[in-house]
Amino acid sequence: MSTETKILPGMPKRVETGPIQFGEDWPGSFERGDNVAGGFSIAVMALHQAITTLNKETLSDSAKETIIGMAMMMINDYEGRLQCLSDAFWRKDLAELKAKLLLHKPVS
Amino acid sequence: MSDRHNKLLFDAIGYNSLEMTKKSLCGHDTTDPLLLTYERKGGHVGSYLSFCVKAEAWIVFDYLISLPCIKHMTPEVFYKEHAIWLFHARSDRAIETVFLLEKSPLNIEMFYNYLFDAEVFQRASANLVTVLSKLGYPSHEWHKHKWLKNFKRPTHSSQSARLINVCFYYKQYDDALNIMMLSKIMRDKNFTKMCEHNIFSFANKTLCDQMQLAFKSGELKLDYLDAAKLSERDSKQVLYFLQNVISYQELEYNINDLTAYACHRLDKKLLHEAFTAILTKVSYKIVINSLINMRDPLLKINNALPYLSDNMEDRVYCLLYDAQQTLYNKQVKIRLHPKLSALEVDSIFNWQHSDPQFTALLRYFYHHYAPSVFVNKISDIRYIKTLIHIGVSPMDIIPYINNKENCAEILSTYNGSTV
Repeated sequence: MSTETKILPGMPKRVETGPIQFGEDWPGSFERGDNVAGGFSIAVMALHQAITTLNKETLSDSAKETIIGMAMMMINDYEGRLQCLSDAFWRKDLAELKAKLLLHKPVS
Repeated sequence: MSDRHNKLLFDAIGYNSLEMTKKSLCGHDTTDPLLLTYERKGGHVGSYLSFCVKAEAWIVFDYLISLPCIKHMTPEVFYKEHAIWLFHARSDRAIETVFLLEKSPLNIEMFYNYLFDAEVFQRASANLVTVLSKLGYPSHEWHKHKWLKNFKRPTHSSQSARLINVCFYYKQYDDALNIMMLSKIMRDKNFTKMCEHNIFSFANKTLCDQMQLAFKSGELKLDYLDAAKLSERDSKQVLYFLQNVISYQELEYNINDLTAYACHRLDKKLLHEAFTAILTKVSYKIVINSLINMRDPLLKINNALPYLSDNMEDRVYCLLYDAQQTLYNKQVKIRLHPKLSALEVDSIFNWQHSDPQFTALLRYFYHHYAPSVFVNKISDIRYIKTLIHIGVSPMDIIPYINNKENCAEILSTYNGSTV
């Protein structure tokens, strides 16, 4: 899979997130960058809440594992989707969040 | 606005932070930073607002919506280009804010017109009715607005039907009723089809009362039920209608329509249910009189009887049978369809070939049709023989019998006796 953003000629109308087909070629899925970024801003808030929860001393190791697992899934998902955005700000956020989460990973 | 500021704005939305929002938008010469972003990135200001809605970042939402680029945007542009994002988000809070933003009658109409656009409506908040009422536009006031008047046009009836469906779904029957009565949608023959039978499924007492009024005034006609493509399953809904909506008086006034409808449908189950419902409400005599007075009564009754002959209630059978005989005895001059096929005539007779009253019916048919037409139509020799038995001269019949075998049999049977 190519990770480089291809720049094609602009469309007369805003193209929405959803299935797209170029001419007779195979259809594919398109996700707008601002949709990803907007969704990510909400996800970041949820991830920070997850980290706050992980700070609680009363939390069992299995609960911590579950929270970290779910949060990592979310981060991995956005790592792929945020590739379309050339700027590094979003990826930097992801890396920081990932590091914070892993700090709470129980020692097995 | 750079991507860094974009990132800041998204973060501000995520954290619902007014400070971060202002920081992301400041440092620009333009007073419309959001609009600038919109123009440069091909995005919509409304999409930022929808992110706010998704994140429930109402502080940022209220701030963004008060920015000059939105405040000074013409209502046309706002509703057409941007408000759709709020409908996507399905938020009452957002719709309420947008509504309050431009609270002039002109814009309210625009809002409604936009709202009821086929595509947008599907995405609109399902609690829209509540929101509108909360804003001071209870449904009984809606008729004051031009948009609802538009619904009287057939092209808009699907929109009001859609709104009615929303009302039904949320059990806001009074609102549904108001729209229904105001928009006169009951006059639309596709009404029941469009409303997906919700009227019958959700009908409550108020609705039944109002439907009774509409029925009595003639706005609601039983013919409309036909458009609902009633099936076996749907006949329960018709039964509900018959039992709950139509009162004794209405039945008395409209029994012709009702009976004609039931006969016309030729659906055994429906007929049975319809007639049972009728008989529980009105007297036997009224039904007989009504059956006699309806259009093409004998044809309808004759059509209905074969469908009722299996396992039907005796009283329903008797009712139709008596009506049939009354019709014959009174020699009611009615117009039968001149193009009844031989098969149809046969099917009419078949139902009670062995019944002694059959002869009376046959005589009626014989006198109604010219002998040439009648004899040509009937293919079963038994009918011809019965005609002769009831006193019709074979000589009047034989010239019209096209079938050689039938003709020979009649001649051999009656030669020298009756002829």
